Amino acid sequence: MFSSVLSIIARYFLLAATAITVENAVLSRAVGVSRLLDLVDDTYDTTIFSILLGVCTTLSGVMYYFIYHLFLANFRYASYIRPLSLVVCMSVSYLIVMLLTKNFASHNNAAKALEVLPLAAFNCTIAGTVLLSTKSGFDLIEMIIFGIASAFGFTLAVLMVSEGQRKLLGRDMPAAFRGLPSTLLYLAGLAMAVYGLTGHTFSL
Amino acid sequence: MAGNKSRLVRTPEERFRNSIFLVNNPVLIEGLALAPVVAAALTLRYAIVLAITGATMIFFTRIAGNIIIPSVAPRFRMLTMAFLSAFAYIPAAYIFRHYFALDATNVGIYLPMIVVDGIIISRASQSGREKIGRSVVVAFKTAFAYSFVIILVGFLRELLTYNTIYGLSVHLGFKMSIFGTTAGGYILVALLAALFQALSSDYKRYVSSEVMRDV
Repeated sequence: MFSSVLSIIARYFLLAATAITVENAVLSRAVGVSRLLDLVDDTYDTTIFSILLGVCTTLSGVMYYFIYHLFLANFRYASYIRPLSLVVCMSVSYLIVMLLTKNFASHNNAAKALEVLPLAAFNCTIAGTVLLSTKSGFDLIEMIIFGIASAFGFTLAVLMVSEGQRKLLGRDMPAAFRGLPSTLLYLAGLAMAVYGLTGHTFSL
Repeated sequence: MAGNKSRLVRTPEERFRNSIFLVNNPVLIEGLALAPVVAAALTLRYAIVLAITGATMIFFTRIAGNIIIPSVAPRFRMLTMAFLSAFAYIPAAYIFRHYFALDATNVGIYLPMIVVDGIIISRASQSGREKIGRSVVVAFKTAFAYSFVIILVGFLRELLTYNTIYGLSVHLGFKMSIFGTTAGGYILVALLAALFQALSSDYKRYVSSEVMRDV
């Protein structure tokens, strides 16, 4: 019994570690890059956004899990309404988080959180994480762990890019490469490191 | 209104604002829709699928958003845009299956993911209502700019990685398999972004010098 509990814990731990590193949303699948570019160099916004992203990803994932298994899996036209189902889940999670934030967060934090919440609730990171979890056949607990770990992996990518930007700022760089091009090249370097770790690319 | 004035009468700022393909390219300058471009546009065929889906959704969602969004409370604009986009996805997915004989799932999670991409739902952040004519022109330009970039990236990646164009062999003499990975996608898009940034700066300098000459 003890060994089976340990093996379950190990499996979930590996899943989380995979979501943060090898299957990092930004570095392996280029998901959420637009949001990352907005958050670089703003620690406060990044913290709030990351917390909201983790909560919204988890809630959306749980809801989509039930919708998929109860309805979409055996529905002939599922591929047409899959995004609509996902948007419904994101919308419900958005409304839940909005209500919780208004009622339980402090005034300053609530104002900032509500400003950032639409971006945190509707983005490719959540869509990519939920769709990937479904495609991989995760059960409910695995989906929750993968969602939280993906949000954490996204935050890690933001912090790494912020640090890289700080180092690049002082460099003598051609004008054409300042801003987005240099950030993308920096992400390419990090993505290559992940590719070197896994030794293969991911199927779509 | 900028669209009715002669090009010489428009201020440089108006000309820069209207330049969606070059100065305000949604992918290479503003950094939107990078997920499908960097990770999914591995071949020209995939790129065409993503381009047509994305362009259809961008076009119809932006026009519908221009009509509906200004009437919606700010807190629910992003939600409204996401729903508009999800509904616009249905006919786009139908077109592939019935007219292009392509299975949309071949591009994996990136096709349904376009529904909540910033290039589509970013319209939610603009509160003003544009005239319908201008809205159509802007939507078309945005859709064209996105399609151009993704097809160019797909074409180059297939050529460099597999030495093929739409599955047909081309003799290049070398292959660079790095461009078949996400890292290679980042590198290629970064180089194109640098090119567009340089061209955009030259264009701005040229337009500003034109104005100075007229003054």
